[in-house]
Amino acid sequence: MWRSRKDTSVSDSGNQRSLTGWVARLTGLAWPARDEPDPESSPDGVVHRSRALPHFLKAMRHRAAPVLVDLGPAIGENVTLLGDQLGCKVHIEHLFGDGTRSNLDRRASENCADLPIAFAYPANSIDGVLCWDVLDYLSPAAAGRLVAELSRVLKPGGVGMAIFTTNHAPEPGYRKYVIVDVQHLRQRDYPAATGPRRLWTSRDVHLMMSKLEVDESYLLKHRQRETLFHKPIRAGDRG
Amino acid sequence: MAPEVSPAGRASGERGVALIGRSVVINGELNGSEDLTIEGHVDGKVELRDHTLTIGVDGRVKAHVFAKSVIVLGELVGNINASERVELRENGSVDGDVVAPRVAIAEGAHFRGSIDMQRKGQPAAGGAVPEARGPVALVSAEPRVGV
Repeated sequence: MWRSRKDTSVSDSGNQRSLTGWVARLTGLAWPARDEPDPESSPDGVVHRSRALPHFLKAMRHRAAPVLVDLGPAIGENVTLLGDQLGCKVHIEHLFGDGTRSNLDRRASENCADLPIAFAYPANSIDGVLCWDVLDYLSPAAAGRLVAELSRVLKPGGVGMAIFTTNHAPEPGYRKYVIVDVQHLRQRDYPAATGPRRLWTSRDVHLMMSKLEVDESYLLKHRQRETLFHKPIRAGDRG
Repeated sequence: MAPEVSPAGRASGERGVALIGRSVVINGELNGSEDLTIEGHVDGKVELRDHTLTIGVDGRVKAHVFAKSVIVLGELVGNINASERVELRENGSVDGDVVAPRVAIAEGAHFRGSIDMQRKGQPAAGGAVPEARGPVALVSAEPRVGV
């Protein structure tokens, strides 16, 4: 069953009325929006419009002194923008860095099935999570553990944003996501030995996030899917 | 303990800048009322409430730092409380939690910890779980795939 979205700032009405829209609804596949602008390349990376980021930031703005977890390396532009926009606290949890300078920003090239994922934060203490494309590099078991941890630490109603590749071709190196402004992300690619990158289908994502709720998935022109999710509010959470 | 004042530091700027040289090792508490640059090793606590602390390229600091502004080009292990700004420059490294209204991290810097940029007047983070609220304007009742 499909219900209309409360926020219509991102319009997909064209797709819903079109043949591709009907096919998308029947098959669970989605096509990029017609008004999706082409990514802009620059020496500093490719800038593209993000569909999920504005919603994520909007959700965070409605929270007093939000606490975020960023599952990527510390990126100055992101920290600055999040501080300016939200006045928040950000925990940097770079899952693939061991915290030493020698291993800085290096993706684990081994199988990540045994990657230990346990956050020190108390349950129900985090307002928002920026997953970026971390889940693409995890085995199903490790991804399940990460999602379970996110489900534990997120406050009821807490929001997360994740990015998944839909590109079958191998992507060399790894990628940093820099928030340019509230609507745009810059992708900076770095050459490095990386582990296998997994292709999660939309169904896989929904299954993986069974303890959370997927709100929106945006299939973008540059072969990525941006997904917004939240931790459901259960009876009793309101005290 | 009064840090060594570099004549070069005095000469280079109008205001005095104290310098802890490369060969200096300090264990203990360091207080001051002037800007300070650390190129040596400091282990303990650094307090420059109304001034700027610069940890130079060769500086190695293991301390809880209180200052108006903190600039890190070397290595710092410990928490930072800055009333104005923290700058982590290229190749600088911080392992610890930062509390400051403005934080700048350069490409190539290393940071591990948390960054608290909460504005004055905001309720403190990490306290009691507030009343649960749903995500704002992004929840449809059922999962969907769209574009």
